[in-house]
Amino acid sequence: MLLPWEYSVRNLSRRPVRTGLTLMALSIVILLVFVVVGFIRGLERSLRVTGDPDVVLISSINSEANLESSAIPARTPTLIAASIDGTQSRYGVICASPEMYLGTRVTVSDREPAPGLIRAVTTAAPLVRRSVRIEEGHWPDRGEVLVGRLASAKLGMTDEAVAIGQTLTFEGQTWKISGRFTADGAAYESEIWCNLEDFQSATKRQDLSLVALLLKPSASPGEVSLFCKERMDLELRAVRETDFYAELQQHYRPVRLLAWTVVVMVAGAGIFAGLNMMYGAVAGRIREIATLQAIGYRRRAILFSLIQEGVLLSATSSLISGVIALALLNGVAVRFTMGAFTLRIDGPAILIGCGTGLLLGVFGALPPALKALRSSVAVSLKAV
Amino acid sequence: MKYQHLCVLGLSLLLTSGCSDAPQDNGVANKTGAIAPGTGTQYLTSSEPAAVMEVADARKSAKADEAIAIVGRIGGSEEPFVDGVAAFTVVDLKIAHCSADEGCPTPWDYCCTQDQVKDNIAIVKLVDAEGKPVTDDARKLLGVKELSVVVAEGTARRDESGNLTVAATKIFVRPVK
Amino acid sequence: MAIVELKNVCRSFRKGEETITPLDDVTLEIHEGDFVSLMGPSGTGKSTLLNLVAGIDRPDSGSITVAGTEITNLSRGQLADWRAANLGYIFQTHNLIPVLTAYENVELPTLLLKQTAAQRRQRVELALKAVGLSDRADHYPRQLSGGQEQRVGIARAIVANPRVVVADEPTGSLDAATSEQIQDLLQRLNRELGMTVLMVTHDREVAGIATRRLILNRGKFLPS
Repeated sequence: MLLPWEYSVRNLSRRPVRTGLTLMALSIVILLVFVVVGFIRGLERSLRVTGDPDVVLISSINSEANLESSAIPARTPTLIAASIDGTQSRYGVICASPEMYLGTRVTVSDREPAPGLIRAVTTAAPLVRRSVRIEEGHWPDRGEVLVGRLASAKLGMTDEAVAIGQTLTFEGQTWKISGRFTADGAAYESEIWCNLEDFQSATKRQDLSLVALLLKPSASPGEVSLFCKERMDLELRAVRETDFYAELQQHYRPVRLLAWTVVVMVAGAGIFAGLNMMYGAVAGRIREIATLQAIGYRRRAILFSLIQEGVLLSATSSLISGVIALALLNGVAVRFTMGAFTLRIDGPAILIGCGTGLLLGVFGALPPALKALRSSVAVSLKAV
Repeated sequence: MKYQHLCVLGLSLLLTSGCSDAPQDNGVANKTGAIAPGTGTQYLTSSEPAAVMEVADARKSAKADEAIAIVGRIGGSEEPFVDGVAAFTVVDLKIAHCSADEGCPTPWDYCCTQDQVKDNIAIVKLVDAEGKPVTDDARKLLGVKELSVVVAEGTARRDESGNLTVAATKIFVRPVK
Repeated sequence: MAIVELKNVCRSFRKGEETITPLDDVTLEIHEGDFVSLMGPSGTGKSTLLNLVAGIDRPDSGSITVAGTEITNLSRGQLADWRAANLGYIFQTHNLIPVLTAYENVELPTLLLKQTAAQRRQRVELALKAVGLSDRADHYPRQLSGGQEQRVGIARAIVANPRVVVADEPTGSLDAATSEQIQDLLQRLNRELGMTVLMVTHDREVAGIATRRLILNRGKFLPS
């Protein structure tokens, strides 16, 4: 038989200051867990939603996951259009988007230059990148750029700094912002899109970084791979976009591992906070615990009650942190090497954060409770 | 990155010991595991055609739409098989690849002799009776793997850059010696 | 008929290099309905004997049978269940749970019994009435006087209707007037409810309320 629930609840108010401080410490720890998990979830989602299973990326055979280092002949889109039957056409246009992709320093107004990501495209780009939507403004004309929703975060600036009508300078040329676009959280949202011909002339390059092909649902990416193998002289490589970003996720595995390590370390600190409080709480209750045993309560009932106490506190902390995380952290933009993405406090993040919180309660209460229950009842009854 | 290190290692081994001059048999493939028999019996032939050309010779002399039989070793890059289509690249038997004892994990990419591969490579694409590419995995269909030696019988396709594609209807897999 | 039976019970403790033997081959029988007081100098083994009877300590040798159960070989869990069903414990310092009201403190042992909420309520109310604290049911221990706290402790000890009640110096921390009230209460428990009481005390006057007086010295009973 278990001890009454009220016993655990009211015990928490015995030392209000200590309980309050522990509540605060646990809330901070769980909030930190939310930050890290939100970071991982945001990064993963950004890479996951970027890939379209119907899109195949054709890049240089030696570029692997780094599109910036890819250089393919400018005639590749024409060759592809002529050779691959499986390419989709929309509004009478073949969905093959020739693109240049470059990380370069971007100056906004008179601020210090910051690293930005430029994708030089043609009007075929939105036909292939189907998630892209122009939120405000218009498609860039010559000398203009379209900025992604998170481009400001990538540049470390405010949204106002990259508002429509502002100017940016990169590759020795000044560009006027003509509009803003979103892409359902895809990685493009941290990019700056400009006209391909303009960018080729600014960079004095004639080649492309990649061609993105939107295939018909019935077509196989194998057809594109076969073309790349047949045209060995072009040294091309075809990869399904979803596979490309899955591969990129593998590149970020050490980052994710590090993040999980931080979660474990932060949670470890939380356990110490819980241990500290529960050791204090149990140490002052040695005689009381012995009394309960003398009355006839089994040790496991008392253990359960003490754990309940710890979990009650950590659950409250989880709730507080969860609300803060949802209200203040969810959607916050984070700047990262590959671009920018938003912290994502979604279902799994809530589950992990609150689960960690509850575990803190259990592991924080367990050692002091076991220690108290190991002592002899007869001796503990005489404890002061 | 790991791959690049391995290639550097491969090159250094080439400088010290060199790749074997003599063409290799497909012993490496053999040692990396037994090959299951192919399921595409309609594409497999049990006897080797009489007039077989080496890949290099075929690249020089084969004309577009000419009936042809070429022999080559599956390889030429880290991934010689094309995903989703029964197709693969073959390299002329005279070109040496790293031997098993050189420690190269992907000897079929010819990393030691990559500069020679360019003019000694062809692609074999298996086609059905209507001439359409077969969309099964060549490894399962033909019971082959990297470094297997095959004879592909079919029609030559050429492009302006000199690339050679054989639209193969029959494949003979040379047994491992 | 003996409700408490100790046969050749020995219990010793290590204290540094020294071995203390508070109980040395003790044999004792307490009959149902007895009110036994146990006296003796400090450190002579009175509380040890009480704890052995209550099943919260174990003898080194010998056997102890209480309320028909040989308790020496029971596991910790079995002992807990046995105590819940058969034993009431009155502590010197009452040991009430500070975060629970008088009612909730008294209710604690009944939660271990298979009873309905209504049955439990009836028992708790009866126990509080028996100790004259019905009007203090909702008070927390800190809102009660020392005597009232001890009476709540007694109500808690008797609420489950145990066959044996052990009391460890129940008046030890009380003033004379309050001590008298508690003595009276213990006598009534014994007389009116027929509960067997084993009480440890160092006070001759308090020991005088018992129907049988035992004196323990150097691990042996002396003739009283």
